[in-house]
Amino acid sequence: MPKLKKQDQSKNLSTLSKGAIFLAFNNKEINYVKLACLSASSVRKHLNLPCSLITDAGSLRHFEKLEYIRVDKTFENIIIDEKTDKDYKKDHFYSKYKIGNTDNIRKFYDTPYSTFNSQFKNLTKHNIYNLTPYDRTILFDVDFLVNNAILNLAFDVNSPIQLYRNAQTLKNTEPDHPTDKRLNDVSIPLCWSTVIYFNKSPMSKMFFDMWKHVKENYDYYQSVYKFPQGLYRTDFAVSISMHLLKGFNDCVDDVFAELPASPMKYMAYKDDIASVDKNGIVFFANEYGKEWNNILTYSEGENLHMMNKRAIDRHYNKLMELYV
Amino acid sequence: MDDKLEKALDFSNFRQTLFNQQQTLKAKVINELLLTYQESIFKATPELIGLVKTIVDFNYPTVIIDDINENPVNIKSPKEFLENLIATYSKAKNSHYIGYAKIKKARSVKKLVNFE
Repeated sequence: MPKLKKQDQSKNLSTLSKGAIFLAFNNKEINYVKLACLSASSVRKHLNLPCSLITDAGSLRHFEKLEYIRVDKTFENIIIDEKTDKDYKKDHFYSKYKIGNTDNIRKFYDTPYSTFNSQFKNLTKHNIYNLTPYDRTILFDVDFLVNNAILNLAFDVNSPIQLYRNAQTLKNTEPDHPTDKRLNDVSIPLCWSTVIYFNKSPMSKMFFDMWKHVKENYDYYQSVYKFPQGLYRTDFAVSISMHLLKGFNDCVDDVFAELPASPMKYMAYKDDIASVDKNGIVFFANEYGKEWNNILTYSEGENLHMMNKRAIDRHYNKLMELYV
Repeated sequence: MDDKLEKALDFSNFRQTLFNQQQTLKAKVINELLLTYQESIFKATPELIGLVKTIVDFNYPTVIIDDINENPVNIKSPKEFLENLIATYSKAKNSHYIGYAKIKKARSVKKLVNFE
């Protein structure tokens, strides 16, 4: 590949396409396409980016049958990932992590008082590099709501991969759960795969190839990095990929940089939404270890990773009003 | 419950929520202090503004400044950089001031969190 001079690189930066991409594969419990519509609306409003959706035919049909929101108005491209089901069947995780007849099951909380098990279709997330139609992309999880324009700064920075390395609860404290900070108490720090900026550079390709390699050898890396067994978590795969590519050093550099506006603020599974007004969201922030105790918090103009998906569903229409 | 104790607990809840909302506001302002320049991200702090102003006053043609990831960047136009820093700083601090005034005025948890 010919090496570009620095001034040529900056000249080209403005002509490269940019956009946001979402992966949504519905399961019996969660309508991910519906969540993706909300998240994409927030991206369109605050970042003014074109959005694309990667889904499977079944999820799309299900959504179009039930919902009044037009998916094609929210997304400029809808990419049907034909390979997904086949990939799942071929994947060794398919039979490994299963409860009953369902595979790669995750236990979800909806406040401390309600739980449900649901399939977690995240095994093909690393394919995003090949599927994105943009030169410079921000990959968003469908439960991430953008409420300011700060993430647009990522496009002006000369770092091929940018993601969050730190997170914060609604109470502005470090994550309560140890594996939301490190892979284990004495292991490497966790990097979040919730939002990832990447471009179509050899460096980015290397990162996604490494992610695929870690996924395919997940058991081996589990024994090396000693993270909890069971569910395949893309955050772990991303953290290990970064660690390997950095030569086993934990450092921030100009290749794997931190996204602007770190730490990422998140609403935990046990938190709930109290109400949504015209500017922001009032939350019940649950206290870790004292499940009966909540404090009210108000969030306005902050990007939020909304882990409690059932809470989003309960307030979906009101949340959508924030982004129209 | 004893009336005095109930009042004290209400006050404690209020202080806890007040503290949290102040922290939220601070975090928001820290994000607003970020700006990109020459493909790097900087934080418009008073210290950085002071340094760049000194460089400009001494008529240095360029200056090396660390970005937020501690990578050195050769700033080719310190004067333009200073203008961007000041504009970002002023905008962020103005929003801090407005947010702070709103929190300061609130006398109940409901008011603090805009809960109707």
